[in-house]
Amino acid sequence: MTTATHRRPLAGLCAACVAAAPLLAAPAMAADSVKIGFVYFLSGAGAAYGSHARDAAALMVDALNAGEVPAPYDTVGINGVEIEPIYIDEAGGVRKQIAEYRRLVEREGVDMVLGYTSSSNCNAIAPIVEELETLTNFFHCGNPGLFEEVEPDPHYTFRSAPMGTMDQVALARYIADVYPDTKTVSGVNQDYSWGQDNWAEFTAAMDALDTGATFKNALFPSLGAGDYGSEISALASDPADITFVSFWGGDADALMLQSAARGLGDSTRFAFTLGTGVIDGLGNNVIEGTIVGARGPNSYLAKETALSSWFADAYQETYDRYPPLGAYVAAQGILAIKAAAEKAADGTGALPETDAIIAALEGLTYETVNGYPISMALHHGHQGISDTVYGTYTGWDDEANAPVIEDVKTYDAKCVNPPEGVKALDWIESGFEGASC
Amino acid sequence: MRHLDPTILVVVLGAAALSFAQPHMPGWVVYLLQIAIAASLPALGCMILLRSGLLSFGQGLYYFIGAYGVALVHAHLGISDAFLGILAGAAASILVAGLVGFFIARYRGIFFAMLTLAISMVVYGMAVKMDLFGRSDGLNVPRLSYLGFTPSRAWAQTSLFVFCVWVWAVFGIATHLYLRSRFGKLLTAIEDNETRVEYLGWSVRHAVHINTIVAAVLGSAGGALAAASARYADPSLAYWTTSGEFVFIVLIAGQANVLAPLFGSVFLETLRTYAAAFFPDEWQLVLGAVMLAIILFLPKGLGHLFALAGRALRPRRATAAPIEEDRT
Amino acid sequence: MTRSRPAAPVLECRGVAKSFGGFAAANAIDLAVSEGEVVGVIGSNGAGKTTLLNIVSGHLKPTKGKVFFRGEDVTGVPSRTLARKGIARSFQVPQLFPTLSALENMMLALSLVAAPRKSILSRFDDADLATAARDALDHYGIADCADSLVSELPQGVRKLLDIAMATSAEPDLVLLDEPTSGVSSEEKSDVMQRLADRFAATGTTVVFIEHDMDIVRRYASRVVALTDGSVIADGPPEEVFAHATVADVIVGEPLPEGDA
Ligand SMILES: Nc1ncnc2c1ncn2[C@@H]1O[C@H](COP(=O)(O)OP(=O)(O)OP(=O)(O)O)[C@@H](O)[C@H]1O
Ligand SMILES: [Mg+2]
Repeated sequence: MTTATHRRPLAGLCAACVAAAPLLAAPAMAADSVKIGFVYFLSGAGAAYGSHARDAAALMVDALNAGEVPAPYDTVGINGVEIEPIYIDEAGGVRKQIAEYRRLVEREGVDMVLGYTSSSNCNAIAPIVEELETLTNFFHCGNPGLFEEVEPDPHYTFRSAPMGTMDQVALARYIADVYPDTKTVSGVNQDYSWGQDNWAEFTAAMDALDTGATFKNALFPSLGAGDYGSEISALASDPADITFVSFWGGDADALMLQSAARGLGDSTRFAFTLGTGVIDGLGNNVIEGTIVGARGPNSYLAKETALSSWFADAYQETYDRYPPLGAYVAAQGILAIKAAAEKAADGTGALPETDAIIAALEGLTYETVNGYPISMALHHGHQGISDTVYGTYTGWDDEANAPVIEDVKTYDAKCVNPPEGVKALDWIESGFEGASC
Repeated sequence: MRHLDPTILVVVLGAAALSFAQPHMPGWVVYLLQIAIAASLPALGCMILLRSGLLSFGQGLYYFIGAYGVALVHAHLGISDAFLGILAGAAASILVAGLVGFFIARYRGIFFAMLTLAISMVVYGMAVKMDLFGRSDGLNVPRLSYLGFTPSRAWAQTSLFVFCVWVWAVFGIATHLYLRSRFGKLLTAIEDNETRVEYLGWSVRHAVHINTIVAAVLGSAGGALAAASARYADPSLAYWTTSGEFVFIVLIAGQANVLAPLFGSVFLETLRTYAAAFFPDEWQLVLGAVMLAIILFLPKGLGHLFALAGRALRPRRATAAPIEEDRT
Repeated sequence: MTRSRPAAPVLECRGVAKSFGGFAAANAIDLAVSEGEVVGVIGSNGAGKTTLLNIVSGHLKPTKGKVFFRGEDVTGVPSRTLARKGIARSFQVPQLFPTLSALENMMLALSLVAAPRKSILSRFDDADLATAARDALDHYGIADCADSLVSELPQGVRKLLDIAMATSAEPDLVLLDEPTSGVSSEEKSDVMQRLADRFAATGTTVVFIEHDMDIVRRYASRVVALTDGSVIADGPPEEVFAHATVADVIVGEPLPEGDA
């Protein structure tokens, strides 16, 4: 068996080298454009957000290159240099993602990378970012651990998206403000770091606010479970006033739909931190009275400004729908870089040096398409914060073909984000020391 | 000894050539090769189990243990030595496979496959809940040192690549010697006829048990290299899709020689990169289609291409004749 | 036989019984085989001959009774241990490694049962081992087929290969299950003669199951007849063949009336 095949392997390796040759060729340098690698979930469950993010990125790239975006982003591309996008799928696991990141930087020669929704991908790639010295903006992942533990001293790594902590703290404050009679709270969260951390932050925030609410069920169905029959039974047999949910994507839609079918909305009030996503998926099938957030003040919770209206209209026109939250988050990832690069530039027509862009981005406050500016205020100017908004979905406006969201409350960025130098959970547990509301 | 074993020669020369070629390769190719080398070791474990007709869908468990060997030894003991990291993972794998082996060595066929899968999924399920393993977000791994030598940042990638290449060379040659030994032949014989093996004085169960442990050590060595290369370890290493990929590597490469899984792994990583680069939206579909085509049209694996090519190049050498003559 | 007789018989069965579900395949079998004896076991299909061999060689655990090998209780000891103690066994249906060549089959037998355990990690593909295996095949006259795959061998050669592998470790006790079945009638006595010569030369104790009564008459020093799992006759061939039930049921040639 072995003897007949001894000579195969060497030939095998050679064949693999030959196959790899075209990719090995030196990348073509195009100095007249800014090459950006965009990494979003294009397949799998994460595509529920990633596909909108990619749509928004494509829209923004086209509009910026055409100089159609309103002020303050009305220069062509980035500082007068056209953007050349390369899209990469975030699905496929951490080790594949690192390979893709390296390919973007070392083979495609991108000037910067924007992307990453999954916190495990962000955690894994951050050290590689610093090693390869390429400006990278994590546009969506929200785990505080990224800068608190994984990369405490970032230089090339930024995250313009506010941390997920903001969602939990703002929701707790919203419940205290709008539903002060809340006595009991349950939670249904996906069984992985995101769901576990969100529940921990939310319960800590409720305690810190002295709402007096007690916690009942804390359920953790597995990611992508799809069937929530037993969770719904548990919630229905011992209903809490509020049920906290940090689900996203198809899981969120499935939980909402199955709960609605079994009338769970009559015995508890749901609070979905990514509720506008569920509205996008289910329209008027969403249980009335559900508290909804949008990973920041995005989507239906955006504020009307010239820029935000332009974005919503352009998205509607191009994709024939109101922009979901993933679209907003992707757009602000691009705007962060554009604002910083243009602040760093001497004149238009060239992309400033990476270090100059980094210096400009640290601590920068820039306008976004949801109408609420983001300040790069934390972790030495590498982590963004913004105001955020919660509201309660009360029904569907058939005339406007839009959801009705009432009791909308806005929370100041410094009221729902920790101050510089304090870990998110420590800050919550300290009773929000240093918060200004 | 008559002449040097050609497989050993290829491994040693190949490892030396790759070591010297490293400075001339772009970083992403180096990383790709490292990940391919890492994944080929658990696949090699699958291959040696397949010699006895046993399909393991749980090699990811040992990939996981090897990776966390490196990550945890650093996180809890402050040790970033590559050799100690590999040894820690290997020791843990021997322990786990030693225990698991008592249970699974008596099963065959689909039961063996499902049990190995189930055990690794149980570990995955626990790991995503445990802070020790960083839950689903995993743990970061530092830059490694080598027996007290800490390479400078500029040399870190070269050192790691050379380390990966030679770790593979050592394990590859050891596995080759293992398979070519009498025990290696015994493993093949188990698939043919367990009764006869028992009547020849050897316990089939012990042999399978030992082979499970050897496969586990290979898997954990791969896991250590994967963690060192990605500088990251997470529970998805134990997820069934990871194990499935190792089986796939063996399927596409064939199992004639220890170099086959390495070839299959390099092929798979290259294919994945190409597919993702040219078809960012449909790369998984393209990958699946190519693998399906290989299985349909080359059931003996890609390695068989070389056998076919070899046959085409030497048309004169009749192979069937001697057997006919013997039959008289 | 010039050897001095040891105190204990080589093989002894005491009240050995085996039932499958409710069906008794072996029924309180008592049997003692002394050094150097060549015992022929006869019986109709389903009489329990193979079952007896399966029990004695450790493949099956008896439901009742005990088996002794040279005075040592080996009841329930697995076949792999008995193989190392010196009990060899060939099979009614040859148990071989069909994807390997005859030579490789023999090489495996030599490197497993006939070699110390610690040599297991030495090279299989070894010239000395191959030579030894070729010699072993030659002993049984099948060296010509060494390089053929087992799956391509004729039945008679497989039968011999099975025996050659079983006996590769120079056992004390050889159990042969129908050694000549499948061997062409012209070759039968040739094969049996070869085996008899071989075992006589080493003084090996042999128990063989056989349906061909001529062969039994010629080569057995003692015959044991089984019916429905019980021993109905045991003794020198002429005595056993003179037994009425044996002649009627097993041999199929009833004795002339009044002859019993
Ligand atoms: N594993 C088993 N399970 C159930 N029944 C069995 C088993 N093995 C043997 N038997 C039955 O026990 C009886 C004796 O079988 P055995 O194989 O010992 O017969 P035999 O004397 O060797 O016959 P033959 O001459 O046909 O080989 C048969 O009726 C057979 O069907
Ligand atoms: Mg029989």
